Amino acid sequence: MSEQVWPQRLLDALADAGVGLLPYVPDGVLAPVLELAAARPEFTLVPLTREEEGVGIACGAFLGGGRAALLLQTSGMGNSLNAIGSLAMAQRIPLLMVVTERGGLGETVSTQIPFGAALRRVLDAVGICWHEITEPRQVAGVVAGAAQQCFVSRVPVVLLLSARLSLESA
Amino acid sequence: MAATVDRAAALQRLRARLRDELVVAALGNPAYDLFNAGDRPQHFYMWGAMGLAPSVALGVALTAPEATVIALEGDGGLLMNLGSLATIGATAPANLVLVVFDNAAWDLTGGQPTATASSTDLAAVAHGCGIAQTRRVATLDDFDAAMAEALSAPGPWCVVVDTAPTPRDRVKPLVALRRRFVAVDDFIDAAVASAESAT
Repeated sequence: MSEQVWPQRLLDALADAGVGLLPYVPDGVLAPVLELAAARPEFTLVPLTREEEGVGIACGAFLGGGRAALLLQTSGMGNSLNAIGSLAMAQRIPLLMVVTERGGLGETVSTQIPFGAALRRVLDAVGICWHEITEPRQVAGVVAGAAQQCFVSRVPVVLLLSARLSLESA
Repeated sequence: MAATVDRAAALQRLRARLRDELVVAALGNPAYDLFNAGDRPQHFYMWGAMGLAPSVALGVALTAPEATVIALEGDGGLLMNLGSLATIGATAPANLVLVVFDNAAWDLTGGQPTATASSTDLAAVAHGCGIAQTRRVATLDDFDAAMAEALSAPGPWCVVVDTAPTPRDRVKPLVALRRRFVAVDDFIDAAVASAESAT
C-alpha cells in the first residue's frame, strides 16, 4: 500500500462530493487510488478501453442522477477532447476529470512530452477549467471546490495531479 | 441478406411499446427518427460525440439501475467505439438494451460503405464481447419481437437490425431537436423518478 497520503484524501473528497462512479484508464500514479477505491463500497470502478468512452459514461452517470469522476492520464485528455466539447460542453453536462500529469518533471518516456507540455494551453484553448494540485495538503479543498464548480455550474473541470504531488512522501 | 427494416417504422413500433424506459439516441438518423416517432422527456438526443451513445447509456444504466435504458446507435457510430461493447460486456448491466441500426453505410454523408458492408459482423462482435443476449433481426416483426423480449428479460441486450437506406423524403426535425438538445433536466428528472418509483 502507498505511503502517500494524497490518494486517500482524494477519494475522501470525491466521496464527500457525492461521486460514486469511477471510470478509468489506469496509470502508475493512479494505481494506489484504484486499489483503495476498489476496497470502498461507495465507489464503482469501470475500467475503460479508451478514455473517450469514459467521457460518455461519466456524462451518462449525471444524466442518470449520479456523479462520476473520470480518472486518466495526460495522454488520455488528447483522446477525449472532441467528446468533451460536443457532448459535455455543448449539452451542459458536468464532467469531472482527475488527470495525472505526464510529460513533466522527471518524465522518462519521451512520447509523453509533446502533449504533456501543451496540456494546459490546450485546456485553455478549449475552455476547460483546470486546477492543479501540487501538494497533499491542497487535495481536500481543491477537490471539493472543483466538484462544486463542475456539478453546480455544469462545466467540465480537470483536476490536474502535478508530477510534484507524486514526488511527495507525505 | 437484404437489408429490409425501415428505421423510422421500427422506432414507431418501439415508441408505442415504451412506458418508463430511458432512451439515448445517437446523433443523426437515430435522433431524427426517434423524435419523429414521438418525443417524450425520457429521451436524450445527442448531436455530437459520434460513437458515444452506448457509453452514455451505460453511464445512465449504472447510476439508475432500476430504470431500463435503451441506446440507439448506427453501424458507423458503433464502429467508432467498438470498445464500448467490451465495456458493456464486462460491466454487464442487466438494464441496458443496445439497438444498432446497421445499414452498412455512412448514410447521412452520402451512403459510403462501412466495414459492415463487407466484413464486420457487429452481432458477432457483441457476442464475442460477452453480450450473450445478442440478436440479429431483418424484419419489422422480428425487431418488434426482439424488443419485447429485451424489455422484459435481463440483459445486457444487443439487437442488431438489418436496416434499409433512409428514404430521401425523411424529415429532419432540426429546429425542434435543437431545443430538446440542451433540455437535459427532464431526462434527469425521469431517471431519478424511475429510481424512486422502484424503491
